[in-house]
Amino acid sequence: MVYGQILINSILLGGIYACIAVGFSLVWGVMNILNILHGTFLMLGGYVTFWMFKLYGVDPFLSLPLSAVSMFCAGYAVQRGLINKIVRAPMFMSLILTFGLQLLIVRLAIYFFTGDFRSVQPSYAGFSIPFMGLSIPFVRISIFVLGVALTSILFWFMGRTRTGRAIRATRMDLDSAQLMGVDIGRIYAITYGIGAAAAATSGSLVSVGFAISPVSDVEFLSKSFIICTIGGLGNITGALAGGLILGLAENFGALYLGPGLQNAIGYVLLILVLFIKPSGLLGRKGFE
Amino acid sequence: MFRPWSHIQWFGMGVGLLALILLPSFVENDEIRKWMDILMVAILATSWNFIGGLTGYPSFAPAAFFGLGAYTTAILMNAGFNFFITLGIGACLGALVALALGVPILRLRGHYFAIATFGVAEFFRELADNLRITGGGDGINLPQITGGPDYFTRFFYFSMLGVAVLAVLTQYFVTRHRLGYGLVAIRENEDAAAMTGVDTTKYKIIAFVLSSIFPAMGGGVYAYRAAFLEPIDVFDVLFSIKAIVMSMLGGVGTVMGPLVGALMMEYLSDYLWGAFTEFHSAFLGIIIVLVVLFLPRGLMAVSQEVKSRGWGSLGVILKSNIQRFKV
Repeated sequence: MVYGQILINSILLGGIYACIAVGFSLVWGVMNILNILHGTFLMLGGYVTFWMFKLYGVDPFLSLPLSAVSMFCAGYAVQRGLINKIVRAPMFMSLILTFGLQLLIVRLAIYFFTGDFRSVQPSYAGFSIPFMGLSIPFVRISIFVLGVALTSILFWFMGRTRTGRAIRATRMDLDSAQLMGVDIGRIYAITYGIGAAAAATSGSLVSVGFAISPVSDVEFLSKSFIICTIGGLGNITGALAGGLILGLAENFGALYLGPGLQNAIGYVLLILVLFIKPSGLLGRKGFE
Repeated sequence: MFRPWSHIQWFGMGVGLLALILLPSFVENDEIRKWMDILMVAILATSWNFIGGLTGYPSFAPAAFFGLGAYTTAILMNAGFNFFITLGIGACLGALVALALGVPILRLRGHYFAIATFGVAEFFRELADNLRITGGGDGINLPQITGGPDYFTRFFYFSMLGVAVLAVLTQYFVTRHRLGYGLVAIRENEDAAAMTGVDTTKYKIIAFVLSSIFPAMGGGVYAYRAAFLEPIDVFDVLFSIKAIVMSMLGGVGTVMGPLVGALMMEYLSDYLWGAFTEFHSAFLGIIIVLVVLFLPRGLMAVSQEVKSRGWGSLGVILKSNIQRFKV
């Protein structure tokens, strides 16, 4: 029975993890940017939901679009105004640039929002659904379903729309895509905006089931690192697989090794995967 | 590429060192402490330069080795060891860990290497948070140093200076040696370097080990001075970031670059916004953005261009810097 409950919890957690990592994987895969701002967009998205709920009583699941759209605009602006200027520089310039922005934004967020942990507590927060003797928290299952749904929408967008195809073409070969008439600067900005919007929606979801604070962005960022590395870059199934594996490893690791080492397990997993198969479990080789 | 320093340059460095040695005789303890911090980040930046600047592997491991050295000193001094012996042991331990980790990690390139080193530092932090020997999240106390503030401020200052001199001299001799040329060859094109007979694996591991020794020693000095350690303090990713940004500010891959960068950043930041300590990290963030956009090759490169083209062309140089890498 304990195992059944842990399994359910792991799967629910894994779904959220996948949702957290998808935007990160997209930005990394398409532009080869290790986006340190990912956790920051996630945190800001969470705060959009939190303040909408706190100030205007808007249901957290209804403020998702607002959170996504606002962070899309922010991400678009950051890429257009700053990151596009150094896209062709050695890759770790963009890493450092986003890190600088992260320091600035997190510091401002602490100033305006205080460092307290906040959580959205709607009236249905405590409900859970009994299922074959196990209990499934209502909020977590909704987050899971929404997370998977949004990830699927992204999957469809990348595969079927004109912009999605342009993004994939840019990823395959920047210069050829440009010759085919793709406006690289715009496509990059859109991609980054989508990454930020994905981060923000998962942040909104996280602010309901868990808690957020300006400094929790690093935690989500390192989770994204781990998930993308385990699953492999640039494909959405990789993010799903990585998220599930991490969710399972963390929950079962906490059971056997004690909850204190829960976070350490992810890093061990990260280093092991890099050692055995650097391109990730589902990644294609030579895709770095 | 790396010419030996001329007599004038050696003389200049000697004067600089002499000034640093004589400094405590002339200034207040507060000022000495400030310079101690500069020396500490100079150690970190210079060490990062081995693996990040010369070899081109963006390592986020300085924090890992810094914390490792700090905890080694803390644990051993509590067991009754002499301070300087703990520094030596910390350095050896750092080197061993770098050797053991370097073998798997240095096979990775680019972002994967960066993430792996970041993972190592975070893993150490989690470990220190949970082990009993490190005191866990509650932290660990060190024996207090005896003597008045005048004495121990100078004691720590000179310890830090010693480590810094060691790091800079090592860097100088590495860059003027076959090893340094091999590392730069790896940075420019690793496959080509291997073709021309550079034992890339061996060279990279040596660079990684060199980049671990001095942060571990600096961490030891930091620990004794702080007298109390917490995992979150010493395994802070900001140590790694500062090392990287200061090297970039000065100029990556040169001996002088990290020193200039460390001096500029710490000293200027202290004077410009010493009053807003709360927003220190926000200003650091702004500086990082400006450096990446306008000085991607460092102050040294810009100063050389200014020297050859005159001050009037400064705007043009900065403008060409920002347009160099855009899409």
